[in-house]
Amino acid sequence: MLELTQRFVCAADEVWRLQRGSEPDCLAFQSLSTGGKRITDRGTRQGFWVFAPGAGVLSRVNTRNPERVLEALDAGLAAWDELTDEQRKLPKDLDLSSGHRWEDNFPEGGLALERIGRELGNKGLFGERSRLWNPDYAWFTEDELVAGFPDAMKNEDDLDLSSIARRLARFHLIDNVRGQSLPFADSEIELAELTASVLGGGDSATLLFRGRTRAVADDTWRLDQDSIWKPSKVIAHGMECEFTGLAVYDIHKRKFNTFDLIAVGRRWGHTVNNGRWRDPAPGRVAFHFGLAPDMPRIAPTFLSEYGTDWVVAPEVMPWRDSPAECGLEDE
Amino acid sequence: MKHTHRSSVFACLALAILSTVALAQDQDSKPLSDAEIAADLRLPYITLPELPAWRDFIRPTEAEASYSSVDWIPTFADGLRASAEQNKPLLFWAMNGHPLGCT
Repeated sequence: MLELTQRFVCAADEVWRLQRGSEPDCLAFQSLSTGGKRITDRGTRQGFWVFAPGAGVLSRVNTRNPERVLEALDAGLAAWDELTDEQRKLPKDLDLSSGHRWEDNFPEGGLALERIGRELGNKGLFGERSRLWNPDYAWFTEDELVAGFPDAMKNEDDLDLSSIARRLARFHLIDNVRGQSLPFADSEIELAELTASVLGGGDSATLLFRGRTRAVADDTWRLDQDSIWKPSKVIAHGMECEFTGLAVYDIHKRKFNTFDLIAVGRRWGHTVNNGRWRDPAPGRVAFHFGLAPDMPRIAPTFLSEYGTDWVVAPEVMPWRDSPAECGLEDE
Repeated sequence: MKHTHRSSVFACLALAILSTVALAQDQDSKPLSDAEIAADLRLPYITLPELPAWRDFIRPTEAEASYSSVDWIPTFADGLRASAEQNKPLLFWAMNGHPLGCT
């Protein structure tokens, strides 16, 4: 299948915004995927699509079955071969601009971490690796980085990283190995401790991490009532984690050379989102935080909830209400 | 008669005590909450030499991460532009949550 992808231009994007939004790139997706209409329903548009810029959908499939994906790709290629040159080009009047994308908030000069969460069995390292895992990203600005890792750090210092632990506990130590879940409110964080012990000095410092977090949500929604993440039903759940980690920090460049932070956690309860209703018993989860690749820049799932002044949100969350609910279908 | 009465009193007293004990046992046997069950789950203590093994255990295997070897353009709009420029069909992967992040 990887070889076959070379016959395509490959793109990936978050589809909820595209199918519900009213920015030009969203309208272009809706028009191309429906033959010229707005999408006014909440049906899923997830999956693999093959598009021609001037002709719309050539094939589509929403499955985990690789055979069916291959069939859809083959069908898309066959349809492409039948197109005219004009159908392969972008229509001249097609506006693909977007007013707001969350990744535009990327904190240049700060710290971008890639987080992998994976279900953990009771035998830990000696057990079978679960196939349930999910990535995410965590971002910190340069100011937040320097506040945690000051230029004046020296051998045997203990750095207080509780503000970093709090962000991780609220937004990234989340039971989403089965699928997206919900963030914790600040008031739901009962414990957020993370310390870095400085070993060595000079240009670079080795940092040894230890810490703990505990987040407990009852059946009341305690984040913003207007949050795009507010669920239809709030269910009690929680997460308790212990950190261990090691990193090498270049003090002069204010940059990590290596970064490995492990958190192992106990989870309980579930949310309406994360598919845990199939497997509701309490259990263990493990997380790894490492340096994110430079590209592509994918925004943290809950960046909209960070509550910091450096995260710029759109004036109106364009995908909050479907066009039908806004009355836009009459436009 | 007195003996019988005393016996009855003792019997009632014994019954009351047994009932109290039984009630207390009922309260003790109240099902544990999920949070209480979770609290009993032992977490591994990770030592520094074990860190690389834990990192490799948690992070995706080569097969699991094979999708990332594709040169994905991270927006629909840029993908559509590139499709026209390169004269190739657009393979578009769409998910709730960015497919290259948390879905």
